[in-house]
Amino acid sequence: MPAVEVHGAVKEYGSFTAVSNVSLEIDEGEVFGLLGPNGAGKTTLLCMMAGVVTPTKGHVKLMGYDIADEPIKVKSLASYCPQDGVVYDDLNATENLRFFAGLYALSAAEARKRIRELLEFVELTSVGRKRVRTYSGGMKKRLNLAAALISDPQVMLLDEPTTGLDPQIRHVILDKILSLKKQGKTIVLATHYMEEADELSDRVAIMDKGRVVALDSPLRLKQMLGPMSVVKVTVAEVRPGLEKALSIFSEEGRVTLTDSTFILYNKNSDPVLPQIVEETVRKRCRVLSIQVAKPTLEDVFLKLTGRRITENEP
Amino acid sequence: MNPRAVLAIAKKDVILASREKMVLFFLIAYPVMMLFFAATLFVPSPKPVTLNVGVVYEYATIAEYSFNATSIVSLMNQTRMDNVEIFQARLFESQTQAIEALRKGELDAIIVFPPKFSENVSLSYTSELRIYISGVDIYKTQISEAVLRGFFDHLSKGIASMRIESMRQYVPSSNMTWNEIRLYLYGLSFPLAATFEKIAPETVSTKEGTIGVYTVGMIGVQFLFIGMQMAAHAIVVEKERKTLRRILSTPIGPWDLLLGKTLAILCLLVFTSMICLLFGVAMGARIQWNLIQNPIHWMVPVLLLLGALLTIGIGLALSSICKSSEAGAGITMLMGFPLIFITGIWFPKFMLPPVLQRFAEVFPLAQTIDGVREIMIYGGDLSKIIVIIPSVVISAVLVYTIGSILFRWSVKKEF
Repeated sequence: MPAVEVHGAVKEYGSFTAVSNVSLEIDEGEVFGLLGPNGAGKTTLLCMMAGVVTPTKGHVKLMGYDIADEPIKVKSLASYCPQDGVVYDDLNATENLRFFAGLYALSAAEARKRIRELLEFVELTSVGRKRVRTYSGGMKKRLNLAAALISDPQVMLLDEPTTGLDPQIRHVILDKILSLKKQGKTIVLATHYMEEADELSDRVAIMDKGRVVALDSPLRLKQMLGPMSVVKVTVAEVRPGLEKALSIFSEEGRVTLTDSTFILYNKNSDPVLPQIVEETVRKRCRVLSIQVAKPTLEDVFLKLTGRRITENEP
Repeated sequence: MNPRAVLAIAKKDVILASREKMVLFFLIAYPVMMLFFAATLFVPSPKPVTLNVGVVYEYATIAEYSFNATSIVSLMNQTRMDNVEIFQARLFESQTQAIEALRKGELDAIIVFPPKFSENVSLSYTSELRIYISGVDIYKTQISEAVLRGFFDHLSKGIASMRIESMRQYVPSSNMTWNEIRLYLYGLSFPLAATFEKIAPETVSTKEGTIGVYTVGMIGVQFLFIGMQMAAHAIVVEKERKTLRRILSTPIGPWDLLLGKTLAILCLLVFTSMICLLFGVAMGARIQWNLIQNPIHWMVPVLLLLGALLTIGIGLALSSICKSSEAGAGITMLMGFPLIFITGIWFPKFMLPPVLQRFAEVFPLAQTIDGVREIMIYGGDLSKIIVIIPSVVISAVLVYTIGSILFRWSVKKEF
């Protein structure tokens, strides 16, 4: 039985469609990534799974229970960790966790035990009695994660759990998510960080403008681009005709320009690199850098949508 | 219903409220300040007033008669009540100077003794005198006039009695005895002899009783502000903190959230009511509340609960239209502030114009507070409050139900 089933889910806010006819299934124990830029519909889809947004059309099931029919049952099996801080700044960590334990109807003894374990898990035991107001962003995110784990949920719905954190703290959070994966929890992870989705997810759904444009394992998604390298040519100034001139060095003549970087796809990039530089110079453009890399999920997104994941970021 | 969730929400809200300085100010400092000022400024002093009186003699021959205008001023200066001087007389050269001082607020009244006053009073004629009273304050004017009228009525009667007694030597012998003649003359001089006696409820005639009235009124004020405002904030604050979606993603229903929020507000209202009562008693209020000795005193928490549900219901209804906590605070201030003045909760009803008095009579929270005053201050029994119970119960249940439905609707909007 899939842990999460989404069938033809649509969410409309007036004339704006946030999620458009999304169908997917997530297996138990799977880490499922929802990758896409801001506004792609990841949070809305996650909120539908959490039962805090009602689909305009379609339906969502968690652990076999339809959210529309049995919302309380579903909510007791899943836990939603929103992107924004959901803990109260004027409570300390223990008080925050005790509050959430109450919402899940844990007994006082259960709550005490669980709070102790979770503070240890997120490494906040030493500051458990300090008000959250004094915490750093990373500590708050870890406390958020602990709050989401208070009921020992079967399905965890994590919305951008590392956004706004510096790389070192991000790794701490990602380590915690990995250890949850090892515990066999089903995790749905919405993110716009492709490395996160790539590293953690068993499968990834790439979302854009409310639709799932691709869904597979990160490896297979990257293989969509074929056995080729990605060549990124950054120039000082983009001149007319350069894109067409470079297209002869890319598979199927496909070249994407973002800012002042041309992205080309080539099965054997080494012999063509000098020609690319020569052609660029001939067009009176100065080459600032040239980079050859293996395809990433960002490249997959770029190929599918013609835009970078981070393009829409404020 | 999930009782643990309800308790968790209530506990969380109470802890958060206790850590917000502004909330603590309104729960503790505000009622203390209001009661302090009410007890020290509004509660009438039990001491008699002293009038500053200007005196003008418009003639210079006052010494020719043994009982003259100066004798009257001398009597005024000796007049005391509860060891307090009733008059402080100050001599002026002319009426113009005295009126100037009256206009400046230095005097409460002026007494002008015109020419021939002393002569007339000594020769048993009618003696006219002019009195000017400061019109700066209606209450002070009334008091000054009443005091001066009382003094001169009393003095006039005294002079009349002396004149009647002194007539004996001039009355020719007749078939009437002197005693009969005297009674007849007294009857001519004083056709009516009305006696005045002040009878007021002991509770409000005393300082302790008046502070008690304000103490219970302060509880009503707190219910209006804290109850309405916290209920109006119930949802919008969670939205602003971005915690509402997280709460709604847990296995609780909107009713659990509503009950949790209501319970938290009730706890805070109980707390602030205790502050009002304790400080009121500390300021000298006489409060009667003994649940063991008098079972009718159980009606106090019942009435207060109904009053709380009423204000919370209004606040919940407001929460459905508030877009921010600032808007919630603004709307509740806009509603609550006038209600303090026009419902008789804080200021006495007799100060209101007749239309507002009728409104105050039917406003359910004012009825609730009146009911509590009846029991706690006036020592009334069930018969005194039975008449208000149906309207208080119906309005509390109705308003809270409407508020709950609107609250649920505003929560559902989030889905």
